[in-house]
Amino acid sequence: MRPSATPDVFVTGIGAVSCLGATADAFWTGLKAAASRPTPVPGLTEHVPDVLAYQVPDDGTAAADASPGALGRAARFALTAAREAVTDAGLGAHEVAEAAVVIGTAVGESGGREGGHDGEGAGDGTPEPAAGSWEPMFSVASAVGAELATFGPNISVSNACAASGYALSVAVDLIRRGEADTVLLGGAEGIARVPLASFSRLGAADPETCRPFDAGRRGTVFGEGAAVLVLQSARAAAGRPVYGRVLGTAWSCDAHHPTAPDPGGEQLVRVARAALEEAGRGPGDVGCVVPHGTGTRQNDVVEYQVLREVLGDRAAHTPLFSLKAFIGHTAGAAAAFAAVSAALMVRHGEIPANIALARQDPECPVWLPQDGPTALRQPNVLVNAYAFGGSNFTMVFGGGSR
Amino acid sequence: MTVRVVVAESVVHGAGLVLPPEGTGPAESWFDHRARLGRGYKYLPPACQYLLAAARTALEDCGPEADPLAAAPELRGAVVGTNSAVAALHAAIDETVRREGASALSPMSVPYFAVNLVAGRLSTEHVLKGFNLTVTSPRVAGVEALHLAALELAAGRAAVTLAGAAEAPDPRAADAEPEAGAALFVLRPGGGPVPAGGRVLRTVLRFVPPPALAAAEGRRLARDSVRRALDALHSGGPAPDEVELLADPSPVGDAVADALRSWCADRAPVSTRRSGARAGALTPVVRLAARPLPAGAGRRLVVTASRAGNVALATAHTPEHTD
Amino acid sequence: MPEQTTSAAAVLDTEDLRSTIAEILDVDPSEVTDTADFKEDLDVDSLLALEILVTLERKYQVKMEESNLQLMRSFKVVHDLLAEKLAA
Repeated sequence: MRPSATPDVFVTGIGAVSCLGATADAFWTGLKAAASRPTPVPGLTEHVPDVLAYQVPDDGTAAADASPGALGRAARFALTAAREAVTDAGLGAHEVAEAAVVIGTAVGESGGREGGHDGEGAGDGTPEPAAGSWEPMFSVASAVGAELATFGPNISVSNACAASGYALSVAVDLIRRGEADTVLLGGAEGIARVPLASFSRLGAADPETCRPFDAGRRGTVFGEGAAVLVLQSARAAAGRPVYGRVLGTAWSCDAHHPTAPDPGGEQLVRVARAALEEAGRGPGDVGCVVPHGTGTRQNDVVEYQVLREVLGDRAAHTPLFSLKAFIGHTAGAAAAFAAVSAALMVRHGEIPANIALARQDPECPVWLPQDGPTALRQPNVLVNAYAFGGSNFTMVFGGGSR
Repeated sequence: MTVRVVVAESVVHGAGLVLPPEGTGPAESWFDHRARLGRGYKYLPPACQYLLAAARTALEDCGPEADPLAAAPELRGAVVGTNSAVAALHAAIDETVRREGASALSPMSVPYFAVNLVAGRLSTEHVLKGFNLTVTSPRVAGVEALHLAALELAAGRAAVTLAGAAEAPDPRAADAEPEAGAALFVLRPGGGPVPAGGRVLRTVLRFVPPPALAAAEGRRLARDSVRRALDALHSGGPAPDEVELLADPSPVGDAVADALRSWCADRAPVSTRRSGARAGALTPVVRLAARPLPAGAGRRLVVTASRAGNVALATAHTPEHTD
Repeated sequence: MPEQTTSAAAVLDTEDLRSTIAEILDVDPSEVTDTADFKEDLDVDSLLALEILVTLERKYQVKMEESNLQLMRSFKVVHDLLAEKLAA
């Protein structure tokens, strides 16, 4: 479907803000430590039973600034991660000025629109008249573009739990068409009452922790933060150290049921195969899989079956890195975090130990090394992201020599 | 700038508009989902209901001869732009949780907190298995959707794509006018035959970082960016017969207006009839769908500028000779 | 969103319950017969069943366990379950 001789897209910089800390270094250190736990959400537990989240530590700088025009929580995370990625890539002012910005977010600045925690606000249910100008919910990408003064295309993508994956494909296409040489690509999500309460209402929230593939798993746990990658064309990346290339991405859609995923996984198999095909890679080339792996009972089983179908007899020998157990389900940012993890694993040549499961579910016997780091035997990482609503994404990231 | 401006082009085979009748009051109910859609759409947020109705109209508008979605399901896509489709739902969920707790939430309504489920419903209704994408940039998301749809068609990721915008009033619209309704096109790749009653869409996306406009250099870059976009949009073709500017009152709006007026010079006057802050991405798509288009293959140019910095430029025209 | 609450009735008005459920399912009350199977005949999936449960809890001011969901397969069963809770 897509032309085989497509221009390369390089990853030359990364940045991350997560429950593990405010930098990509803190992120990698946290992944190596394998000790994440979610924490109760202040101000929410009385309304949403058992609500937990993987929260970005408050370092005092992100003071809740409710003045009109102040950056929202998701935008603050995105900007911090973007600045780190820009520095990491060593971008010059001119490159930043020309850069495109594509950011995925599921709920944007919904958190900033919430009523007071003590129930203040118009008691009769009428909407509070917001002071001043309309603040759009999905302003993260434009806020980053404004703060960094970029003049390239600026696109906000909102495909739920696959948003930053779809954003990544859009970014790759910008470069391949020659519309941008440099793209700040990322995902951002801030804690908010609406998604947390909705997860709970839908019975999709685990009351203890995010434990994908564990026999005792009862759902997922929300996580907040932002992950940004600098993507560049070969011309722009020349002479810089690179983490690797985005070799291939693909999209598919279940079109099965408005809210429930297709238990047959047909479109998940298709999207993984299409990404591998675009990447020009086969099952034997995959050194690691960063699964969607949310910890819901259904997802993990279907994903295991999909991997078995796609990787065939290589499946049992391909280690998974279950990222959501470390940083929670970061919704719109999940795919970007997975891409940053892939870049770091390739850079370091190793897959950190997974957080230990109490007992793995025999219905999803994926290989999850837990005893220590595993060597990355092939420099290619497969990343899955499946959006609520049936929009699916898979990417193949490739390290090694250009 | 060393990178190139990309114009995306597609062919419209059918269009559907679902809008409140002229004079409908802000709190007035104007859409009967049972009558328009049938049974089983009760829990959808209104923007989703409007979108589904627009899709049905657009598909019928394609004409009786061919199956408008004739393509394998895996070659059918959807791209929808919105800003406020679920703003009211978020506000309602927030309020219910604060007053009564999460257990009082309606399980059937709650999934739509994920805004992409609005567009996602199109996929289940019309078996679109290629892809389903929701974009949300302030004010321009609808044109953005048309742009990305055209690019996906050009890349072969789909043979036919439903693309457009859907909105519902944002309870926190503040100074901006709320929007309600949906506008959706059935698109096929640019360069293909244009059916009778069809039209050609061309789109370009730009961004002007608002703080840069405080300096002369930033204003120069903004002006050049808009001019290059206009040049590319019209390259090799006639100047537009109708020019509409939909801009937020803002430095970005002013900069785009200046660049547009100077580019238009003695060509068609720039209409700012629909300028003003709006809490959504619908109006530009409605204007691209509106009939009739200027006579004799004339172009309608619609330029949208958000105070956040997003700018989108689009033309619609009917070629002299259609199929 | 769930309906306004009414005060709990000691006697359960059967037809009022029938029309309440019909409203939730977006069908005509005549389709909600005593024995029509929710899942097989009325297209009620797990989310819609949960919607019924939540709405009935609020309207009748009773507490229903989500384990009741499995049992709620027809109007008659729901009626009897609710009548039992109201009598308690």
